[in-house]
Amino acid sequence: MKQRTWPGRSDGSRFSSLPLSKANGSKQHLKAPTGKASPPIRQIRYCSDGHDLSALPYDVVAKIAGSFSLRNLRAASLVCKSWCEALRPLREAMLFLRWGKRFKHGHGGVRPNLDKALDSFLKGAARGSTLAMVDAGLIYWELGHKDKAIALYHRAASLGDPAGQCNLAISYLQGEPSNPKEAVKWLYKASMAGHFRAQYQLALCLHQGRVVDCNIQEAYIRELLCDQFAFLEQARWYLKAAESGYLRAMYNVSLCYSFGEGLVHSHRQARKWMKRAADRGHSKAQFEHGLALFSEGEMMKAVVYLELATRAGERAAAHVKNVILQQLSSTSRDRVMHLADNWRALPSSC
Amino acid sequence: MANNGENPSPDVGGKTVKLKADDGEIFEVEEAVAMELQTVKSFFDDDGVSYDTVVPLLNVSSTALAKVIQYCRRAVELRAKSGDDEGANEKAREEREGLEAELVREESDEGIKELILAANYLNIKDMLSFLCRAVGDRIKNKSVEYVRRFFVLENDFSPEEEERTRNEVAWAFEGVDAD
Repeated sequence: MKQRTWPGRSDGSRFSSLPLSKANGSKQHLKAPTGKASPPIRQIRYCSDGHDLSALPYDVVAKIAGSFSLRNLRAASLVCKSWCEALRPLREAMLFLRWGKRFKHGHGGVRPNLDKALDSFLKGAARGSTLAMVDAGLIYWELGHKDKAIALYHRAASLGDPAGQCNLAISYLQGEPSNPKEAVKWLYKASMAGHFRAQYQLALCLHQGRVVDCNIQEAYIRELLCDQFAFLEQARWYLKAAESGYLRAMYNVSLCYSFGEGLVHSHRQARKWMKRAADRGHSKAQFEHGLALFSEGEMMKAVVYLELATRAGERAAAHVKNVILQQLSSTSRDRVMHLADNWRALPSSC
Repeated sequence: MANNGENPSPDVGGKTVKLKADDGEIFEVEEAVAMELQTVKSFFDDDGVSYDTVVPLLNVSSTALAKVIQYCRRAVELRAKSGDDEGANEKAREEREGLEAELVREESDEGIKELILAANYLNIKDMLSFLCRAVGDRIKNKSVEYVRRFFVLENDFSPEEEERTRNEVAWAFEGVDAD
């Protein structure tokens, strides 16, 4: 079925969502045939000329994509021609967002310029980008225009942007007087959308007992966020301990990075800490690190770690180790055993 | 709550307005509720049209219209509850948000699209906003194909156009920092 926009693009002016307009007189006005003053038969414009009624007007499409990330906006622009056209203002907004970030941080060959950054962000915000609204708000906040910042955060928040909701909530918390009840409402919304900082902040609020009388399903939230909060606290302790040389902490930190629990999801950091723990004699870490090396194709290194892990009692390591050993020549196998025999753990705190 | 699909009759004497859906079903609603639909409001604003006139809403199905009326009725009630009292305002706003969430949660993809078209045609600003947000959430992080299927849209790009658009769009986003 051929999809067409409604109304046709030949209208010229940007489509407004009001199908009736007094100004254009686009409604049909049928008069009764007799000369008597009978009330005219009124009609609201009816699209019966084959326009596909499942087509959405441009501004509705733009509303739907209002708080989309770049990736989603890109995908949505490729859906079909009319969507591409409908989302043009939002894409332009993204361009302004990009320029704004360049001016703010001073990269891409431009010198940092907060005023130009703000200007770009405001242009992006005017075209409907909630990301730009939040960034503009951040600059206003930095410059001390808190009311302007809050207004922008509010706009973004109402459009469903989690960062806007989070920032709005924080501005309520920091306001004078502080309004924790309102803050928690917005934090809840952002948390449910998966905004990490909002979840942490919400956990903090509940933990500190800042909001006692709350209409939200407090029990559910506490449970959800206590885990989050516990991960955060735990992860911070692990990281501290790991940096001080505690072996088990190094292993745990690696897991936290690997699963993004309490620490940002980082494959690189996870690998780094797993290797550190492995090199200092943690048997499970040796197993994990060996597996990782194996998946990267580093057969020799992998099998050394797996041999170490096996010797330390990790039975699961033996199985994988044997699979790899079978693929190696006998010279290589000898070399592996030699390396394992001569291996010494690096020093650790415990 | 009023029964879905059935013609809910107003329980208070007062001006009512008759709305006719695409299948001819007539819905009699209180004037205040009917005026939530800007399209209907404009219909009566012109030339002092008599309130007895049945408003033909030929682009709206009776299912959709019933749900719209149900929502608008509750919205009007809640607005009446809120006033100068900060606490009452908050409570009303929370209830309205709960109402919106419930409406959206229960709707199938087909249903929600139909409601969007209805809310757009009838020009109900708040309803359109939360419906658009809800649909946005449903198609977020999904593939292009998924979105096409959802809205029953054909890819009308020629291969060259698609390539050009892809490049243009990629260029536009290149170098934008992740948040």
